[in-house]
Amino acid sequence: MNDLLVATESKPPPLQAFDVTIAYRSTPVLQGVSFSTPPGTLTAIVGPNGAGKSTLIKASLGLIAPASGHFEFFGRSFRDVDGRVSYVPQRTSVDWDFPVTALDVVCMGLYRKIGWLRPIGHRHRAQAMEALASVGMQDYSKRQISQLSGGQQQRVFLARSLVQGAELFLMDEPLAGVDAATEKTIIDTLRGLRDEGRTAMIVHHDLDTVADYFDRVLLLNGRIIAEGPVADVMKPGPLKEAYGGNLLIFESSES
Amino acid sequence: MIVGSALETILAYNTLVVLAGTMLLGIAAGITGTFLLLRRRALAGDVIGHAALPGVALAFLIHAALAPEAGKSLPIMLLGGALASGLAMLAVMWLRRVGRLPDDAVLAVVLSSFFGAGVVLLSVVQASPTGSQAGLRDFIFGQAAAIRRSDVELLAVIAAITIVTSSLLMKEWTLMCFDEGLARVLGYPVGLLDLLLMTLVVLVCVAGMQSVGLLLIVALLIIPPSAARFWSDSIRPNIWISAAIGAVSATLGGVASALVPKLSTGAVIVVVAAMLLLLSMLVGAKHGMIGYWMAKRRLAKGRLAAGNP
Repeated sequence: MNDLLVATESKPPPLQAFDVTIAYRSTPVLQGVSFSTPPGTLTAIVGPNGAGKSTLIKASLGLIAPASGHFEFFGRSFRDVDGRVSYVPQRTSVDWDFPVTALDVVCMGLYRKIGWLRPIGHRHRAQAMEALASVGMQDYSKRQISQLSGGQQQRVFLARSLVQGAELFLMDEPLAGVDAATEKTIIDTLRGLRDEGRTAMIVHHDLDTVADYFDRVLLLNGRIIAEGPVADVMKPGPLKEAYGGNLLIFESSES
Repeated sequence: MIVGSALETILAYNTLVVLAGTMLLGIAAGITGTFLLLRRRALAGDVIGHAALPGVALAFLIHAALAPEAGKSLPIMLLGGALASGLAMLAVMWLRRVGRLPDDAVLAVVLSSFFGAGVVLLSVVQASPTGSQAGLRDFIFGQAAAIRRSDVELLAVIAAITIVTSSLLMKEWTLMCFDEGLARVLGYPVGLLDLLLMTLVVLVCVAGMQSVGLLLIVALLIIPPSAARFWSDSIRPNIWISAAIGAVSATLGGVASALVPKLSTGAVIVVVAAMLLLLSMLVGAKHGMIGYWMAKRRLAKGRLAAGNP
């Protein structure tokens, strides 16, 4: 607890929400959400379908305008983030038929460094190839993205985040529908990033693996049900509050 | 001898100038159309084209009232068209935000309302004493022969601006179309990039109004990039192939219209583009049906051979 306080004091938190409320038309999706993510942690965003997990990530990036409240990245407004945040969209929201290859996608993470109006150079392509190699995808660089498996697609997006050199990683269900090898690659990579002092917030569905993979949990269902270290949040009380009666998985693993 | 006189017509200086103008337009439309297609805004191009009509007609009427002896002025009519198209896009955005209408309904409502208003104004123009000079029919269906040499310069400048701007912003627009979320975290002004893209689309529509016509301009924006998709899986080749298909369609349409004076240029351009799309679907290097069919046969044969050692 003490470490945490020191960390928050010396360095502004990578992501902070201040009383954020988000509504689609007149229906509120998230209400009064406030939290502060400490640097150098892996946080799982957990909750039932429709709890507002993806909405929270999209709103923090300015893709959805909150009805009230605001977000701060590293103590600053979103406009001054300057590439310190990277984002991996949900698989279903990507246009996989888009005419880009795996290498093209990874290069996108470098656009900011390449600068306005300039073409992508050999040096940048080499850097992108390195990132692809670090997630074991070097042999697929020329494939159009729809010709990759689900796990390979997630690795490509992870490589794009890596090449960007961000300090905060926001990922929307990177582990949904991927094979065991990809899951291990992604988790190992995220742990490596955390050990370098970087931060990740990840929308996650599998309650069984939360304790293994993450340090902290943000439990959502229309509002924050509980937030904090895994051991404090993954208890029957808060989980029952978030998921209602559907607690079979948890109760069986508890016994 | 017929061939000789046809060549003579095409090679006449006036015709060459007009052809150069339509070719540049085809390139500009092919490039901006690629991004329009990838941003899933194909129908917005249709709205922009149709919505220009009331602006063109109104601009003609106002100009005729203020300066009756000046005759028709292309720049003023095109400006009117561009303003009306811009207004239509604002109407689309506003209806999306306040109404409970689905997206396709919003586009249909705005397109038909603006075009309806345009047809009403068109009858006013034709009833007016100078109405016959306006040549508004040529704006609807496109008639390259109606382009005067003095106008070609204006059209060429518009096309050149579009081509240069799109080439410079290729990287940024690709990112915006593919992943708006990343574009935002990287700090790109997505709203501004989007506005710039739509502005260029309006410019292309307005520049193409005389040769292709406002009813069919959407075809020159959307068919070439659709055809290009069958040839390549990477964005840059897609853009250049689309530009080439746009250029070929527009030029052939211009040639046909020079040879057969009554022929509607816009219609010929669209038919040529559609045929190139069909051809691409059949023989395209990446996703053409014939290549796909041959690969399937090879696989089946290989399996048969492997099955019978």
